[in-house]
Formats: sequence, C-alpha cells, structure tokens
Amino acid sequence: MKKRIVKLTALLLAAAFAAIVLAAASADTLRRGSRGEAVRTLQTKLKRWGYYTGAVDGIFGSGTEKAVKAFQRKVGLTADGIVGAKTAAALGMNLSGGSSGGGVSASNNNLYLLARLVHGEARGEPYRGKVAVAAVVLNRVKSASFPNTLAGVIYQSGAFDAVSDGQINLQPDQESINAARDALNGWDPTGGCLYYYNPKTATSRWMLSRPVLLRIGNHAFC
Amino acid sequence: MNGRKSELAAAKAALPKKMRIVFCYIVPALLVTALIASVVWGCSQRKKAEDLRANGEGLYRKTYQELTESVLDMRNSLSKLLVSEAPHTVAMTLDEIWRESGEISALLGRVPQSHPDSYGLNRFLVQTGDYARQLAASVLSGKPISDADRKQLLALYEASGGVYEDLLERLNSGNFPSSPITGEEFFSQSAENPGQEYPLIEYDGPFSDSTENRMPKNTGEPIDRETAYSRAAGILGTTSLQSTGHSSGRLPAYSFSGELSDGRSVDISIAENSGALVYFMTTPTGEAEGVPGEEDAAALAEAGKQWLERMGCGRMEPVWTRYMAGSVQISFAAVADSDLPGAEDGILVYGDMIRLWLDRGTGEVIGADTENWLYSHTERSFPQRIIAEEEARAELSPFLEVTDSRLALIPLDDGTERLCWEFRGGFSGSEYLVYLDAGTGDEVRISLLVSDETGTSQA
Repeated sequence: MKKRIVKLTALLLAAAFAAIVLAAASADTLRRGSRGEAVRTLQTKLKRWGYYTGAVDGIFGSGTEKAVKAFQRKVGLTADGIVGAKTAAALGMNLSGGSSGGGVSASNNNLYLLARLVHGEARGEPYRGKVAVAAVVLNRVKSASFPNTLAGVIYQSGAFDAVSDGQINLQPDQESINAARDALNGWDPTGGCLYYYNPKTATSRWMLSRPVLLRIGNHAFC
Repeated sequence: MNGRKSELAAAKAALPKKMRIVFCYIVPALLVTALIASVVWGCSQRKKAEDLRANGEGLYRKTYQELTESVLDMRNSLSKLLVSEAPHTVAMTLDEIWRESGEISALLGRVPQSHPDSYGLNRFLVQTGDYARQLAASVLSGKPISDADRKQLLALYEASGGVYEDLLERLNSGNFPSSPITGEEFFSQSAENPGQEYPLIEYDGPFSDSTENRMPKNTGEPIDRETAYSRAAGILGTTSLQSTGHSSGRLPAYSFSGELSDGRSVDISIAENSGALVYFMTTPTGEAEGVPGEEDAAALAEAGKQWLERMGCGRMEPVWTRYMAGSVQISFAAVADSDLPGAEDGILVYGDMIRLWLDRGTGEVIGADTENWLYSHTERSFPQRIIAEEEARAELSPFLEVTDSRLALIPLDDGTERLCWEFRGGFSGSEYLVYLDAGTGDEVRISLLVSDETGTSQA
C-alpha cells in the first residue's frame, strides 16, 4: 500500500514537472499554428529584411515557417522553422510574455518606457484613461516645474507608484503601447493636466486640495 | 510530573528505532541548523541593506554637491553676461546658461525631494534656461539686449546667488533629504522649508507662463447641460446617453456616455463655451489588421474629410495616418484659401488639427479629438509678399532630395505661427520635412519622419 502511494506521488510529481516544462517551452516559442501580436512582429521583421513576402496577418503558416527557416540558415542556426530563444535573439525579439510587447522596436525607447508606465499605473482603466495617464507624463516633460526628459519625469523620486513598487518593469500589453503612442502623437484627453490620483486611495492633503478638472475611470485629473 | 516524563519515555520507546533517531536527533539538529542559518542570513541581509543605504546616501550627497556647483557655475555665467557687451560673447554666454540650467534641472530630478519643495526651484531653472535661449536667438538675429532684459538678468543673477547660498548651507549642515521617497511623500511639503521666492520671468517661450496658460480661441456663448445633451445625441444619433460629469479647466466640457443603436458603448464630451464636439469614441466593428491597399486607404481618408465638412470644420486634409486593429487614426489639418503664388492647393494650417478614428470595415467615423482645433482655430491673415518656391528651394541643404513642397502655417514653441515653405525630402534612407520661413527663407524647423508597421509620425 505504502509503495503504491509513493509510486503514485512520484508519478504525479513527474507529470506536473513535465507540464510545467512544456508550458514554459510553448510560451517561449513561436511555431507553425502560433497566432498573435508576436507573430505579427516576427512577420514584419522578416518582411523588412526580405525573407517573407506574405501578409502580415499574425498567423504563423507555412510561408512564415519557410521565411524563418531561410533566416535561420542565413544566420547559422538550426533551420527548424521554430522561433526559440536563439532565433528570437537573432531577430531582436523578446518572446517572454507571449504576444504582448509586439509592435515596438527596441530603438523606440521613449515609447516603450511610457507604455510600461501606463501599464503599471493604469492597467484596468478605460483606453482614454490610459492615454490620459501618458499625457500627464508628457505634460510634465513640457512643464517648467518638472524634469524636461521623459525618463527624468518617470523616475523622479516618488513621482509614480508603479516605479516604487516595480510594476513599471512588467511587459506592457498592446493597449498600453497604443495609448502611449497616441499621447506621443499629441492626444491629450486631460487638456494639460499635470497630476492625477485615485480618490479612493489618495491621502495626500496637498494633492486632494487641488481642483479636479476631470475624471476618467478611477482617476481624478488636476 | 514524573508521570508525564515516564509517559513521554514510554511513547519514545514505542516508536520504531529509525523513527526514534529521526525525531530525537535529526529533527532537532535540523531546527537548530535552520535557526543558525536564518540568524546568519538575517545578519548578512542587514549588512547588505546598510551598505545599500550608505551607497544611496553617498549618491544623493554627490548629486547635491554637483547641484550646488552647477548653480554656482550658472550664477557666474549670469554675472559674466551682465558685464559683456559684444554680441558674440553675449550669445555664447546665454547658450552656456541654457546648457547649465538643463544640467541643474536634471540633477534636481535625481534628488529625493517632495514635489512642492522642488517645483519652484525647477521652474526657476527651466525658465532661466528657456529665456536665455530665446534671448540668444534674438541677439544672433541682430537685436541688442534691452534695458528690461538687463534688469531681468540682474534679478536672475541675484536669485541664483540666493539658491547657491541655500544649497551650500544645506550641504554643509547635512540638512538635505537622503532617502528615497514614495508616492504620498512626493506631494508633502517639509515644515522646515517654507519655500523660496523666485523672480517672475517675462518672455515668450515653450516653458513661459503665457505659453503654459494658453486659452482656447474657439469660444462662443456658454451652453447648459441640456443643450450639450441634445448636441451629443444629434452627433451620435442616439438618445440613450447619461451624464457622466462636467470637467472644468481651460476647456470646460460636459461629458456623457451611453450606447449606440447597435449596442456599442460610446463616450462623448461637448465644450461648455461653444457647444462644439471635444471628443467622442466608440469601438470598431471589425478586426482588420496590417496596412490596407492605396484604394482602401484613400476611401477611408475621403470618408473622414466628408464627415469633417458635415461637422462644419471646413476643408481639411489628412496629414498623418496610423492603422490599428479594426480602426485607422487619421490626423487632419485645416486648409486655408489664399491668393499667394504657390498656394493654389491652399495653405496647410497645422495648428488646426483634428484627429479622427474610422472603422476600417465600414468607413464610419468612430472617434474624434478636436481639442487642438478648438484651441487654435481662428480667422488668419497671411503676409502679402513671400519668396518664390524656387528661391526657398535654393536655401536647402544639397543633401536633401526634395520630393514635394507646399505652403504651410506651422505652430511655434512660443505659441505663435509662421508661414513656411514645407519641403518633403529624403536623405540616407530617412524622410524629412524642412520648413523655411516663406518671407525670408530662414530655416525654421526640421522634422524627421519616423515610420513603423502602423504608419508614420514626426520626431
């Protein structure tokens, strides 16, 4: 009886381990049948470099597989048509976090930094509320009362909870990236606001004494 | 007592020998080892935390030191400026002040000081640099420094001296914040610092008070909530809207949200001072991706143009386009009619910009943001005489391969506008927009166009 329990436990542990390994492997690879924003990014890159001629549709089909193989042969990797860690690195892609983060090139640092702040500060807010948070950051950059660079404003000591609690380091989703891009392109739903807070959690008297100009979702902007 | 001891001894004796070894020796030994390990780990963590704190404090002290030295440098530059007369020396010193103020502002952003404690100083530094830059441009264009400017520069010199003395005193007495602050502390004012007074700097620049407090030009008779509701219902073709509040500020507006006839949710804002649409947004019906063909793209732009004409915004042209899942965002600029030579297609007015979102499947307008237009739209007059396109083209860099040109009125940092010849051209695989003053041919602005998989924007 005891032996059977030990065997069963060992079997269950082995199965759980295998499931975790498989899940981790599938989350970090793109292969035939994969779909989503990461595939779109892959197709865009392959198309830009002349390996892929099909549609950028976010579906990893035979055309994308052929293009991946051609790219792998060219850079000296095993031509298996699967985008794993090595192929992704050669392509300049980050696969951790699945499809999120797609559509942002590594060179567009400001957009990505702003998107990470939006994701950390306004996850769960309506789209306009996300753009508004990004716009507040950009209004601060344009204001004489704050540092005049994006990184200076975002990392100003104590300015944003998402920086203090590390949520700024999470991978931003596509909506946060779009919201950051909209704000960088000049959309400011706040009409020039420099501050926002959540009335349910804010306790600062200085902040609460400022006149609220508009509310979007859970945030009051002033 | 003896009874309990003997009971324990009996219980131990009843255990099998292997189990007895486990419970009597191995488990206590493991517990003791774990206790010792946790004490050692705790001590090492404490040491690490202390090292980090000392390191952080050292960095903050270093930043304070650099901040103090940079303020002294800026004060010295201001003093040199006050005794300079030659335009080239004045312009170079003003440029130096602009650079120093930027450096000090960046250093100030790195020290852990609450926002109410630091924003006055930051504002003073940034406006001093901004003012110096404007003044340098004015001196370079041949204008001498006026008496009013000299008086203002003297006030800035005295104020920067005061800032330096204050920072030096804090540095010497160790009275400066040296530990990181968190969210709420960012908005708390320290009791020992009542806040220093800084001179008000009068000038026109991107960071000046007059530019920051710009008001909308497009105003009219104020309307009440009911009128705003009727206007919103008329634009959206639905009456299932609820009021979601009123936003005050420079562009006061009534907000509503509700449902369209097909059940899609929608948000809308109507300006209180003119009844104009400020914003509305609903969701697209499809999920089209990628960039469409030229014919589809032109049809979407045309649908947007017609909608704007129906809304009474006059003639507008698409200038930037960005494709997203299911929708396209097109920025339209107003087109002003003019008899000027070269303005046969009208003059593009970049200040009067309206952003539209259209459903890629149906061509329906599903969102609009008219704030820029409401802030800047007004009747404009253009200069009577301008230089010819060929004459302006001759002023361009020989590296720029021009592909297109037209007249455009562009907004400047100081809130004014300038009529320019806009030249679109390429160099080394990148595309640029170069703006030359249509009156003088002087270079006013150069924009680099950045393209990605969703469209093109300016950098």
